[in-house]
Amino acid sequence: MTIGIRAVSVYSPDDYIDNVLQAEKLDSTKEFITDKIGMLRLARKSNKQETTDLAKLAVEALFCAHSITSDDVECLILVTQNPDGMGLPHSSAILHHKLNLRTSCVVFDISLGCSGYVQGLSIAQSFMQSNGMSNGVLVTADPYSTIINKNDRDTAMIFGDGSSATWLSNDSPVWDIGPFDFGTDSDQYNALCVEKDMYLHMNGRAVFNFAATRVPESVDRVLNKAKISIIDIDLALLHQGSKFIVETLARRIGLEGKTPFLAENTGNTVSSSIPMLLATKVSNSAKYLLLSGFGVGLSWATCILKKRK
Amino acid sequence: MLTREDIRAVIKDTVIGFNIEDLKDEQDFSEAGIDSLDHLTILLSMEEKYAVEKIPDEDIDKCRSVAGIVEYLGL
Repeated sequence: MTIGIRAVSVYSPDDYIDNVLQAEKLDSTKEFITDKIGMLRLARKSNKQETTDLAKLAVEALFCAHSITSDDVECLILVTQNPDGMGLPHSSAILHHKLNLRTSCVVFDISLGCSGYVQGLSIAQSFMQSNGMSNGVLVTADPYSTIINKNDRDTAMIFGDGSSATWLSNDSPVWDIGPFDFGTDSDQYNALCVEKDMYLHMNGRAVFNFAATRVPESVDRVLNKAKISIIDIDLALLHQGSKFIVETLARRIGLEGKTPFLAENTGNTVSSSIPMLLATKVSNSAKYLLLSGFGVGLSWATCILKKRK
Repeated sequence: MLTREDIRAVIKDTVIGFNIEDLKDEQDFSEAGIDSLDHLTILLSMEEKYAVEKIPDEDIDKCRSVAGIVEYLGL
């Protein structure tokens, strides 16, 4: 049996920034936050929490809510671009230690941003199937609060911290994964980047134009690969870049009313935004889901999830 | 060729809930309630619908009104 998604758990810190109050300090407005950004609160980890602490809490939530234990995990893949310490060793090794995973469990990091969850699904599925594994965990944890300049209105009102853990298994999966569509527009690689000041800088126009044009094309390709139509999609889980980009894409793709926005109280949690939707917004009757992540690179990754019969 | 009326039509189509009759050609978009994200959408829609060459980032401040866009594009 092929590898699919069996369960998803998430973690969101209790602390947060009131984004409406912050907007006033940054010469923005309450209306812009509520109507366009859509994020009233930005979740914030504590200063003491490392990336792997966020990741650990999501994985522990998965272990607590489902029948998987640390002894079952044959591989763990961590998507992050804000690793613990200086990035060496790989944070997934630190997470392996914190979770007390078995020695034979292989772990590695994937350096990707907002497209990371969907790309990670493909990598994890392929890696597990080619190595005959039955149970693995795909983790996302990318706390952008560590790279945000609180005085930069292009970025300070958008990003929040959070993490997710997805149980991938060939035993009773809920969702079959794929097909996929991927791509990279590297002419704009510097539209989202950490510069010498160690802060994230974003060219909002470039990122908006990229998403508004590339994602609908990617959706068309993945629907063709899956041999299904847009009307077959029950729900589209789009990266929660902002309320405005989700609504813009809904119109351009032709899925208005089927693109939930869930980042009101978390902010844009980068590679964790799609699994947060998957963990909370999908009804039991849904048969086909469309997932699309887009951002750093500038890269995109789109896929179909089909409910296993 | 793109006309002043085409620009107004793009604004009408892209800015949800906005009454185009309320917008004067000389009026700055922000004063009319068209925010920075709406502005990006207007520029992208002009590029897509009328094959307008992308206005460079450094010049978009010159295009914050219908009249400004007309003048910038030499219409």
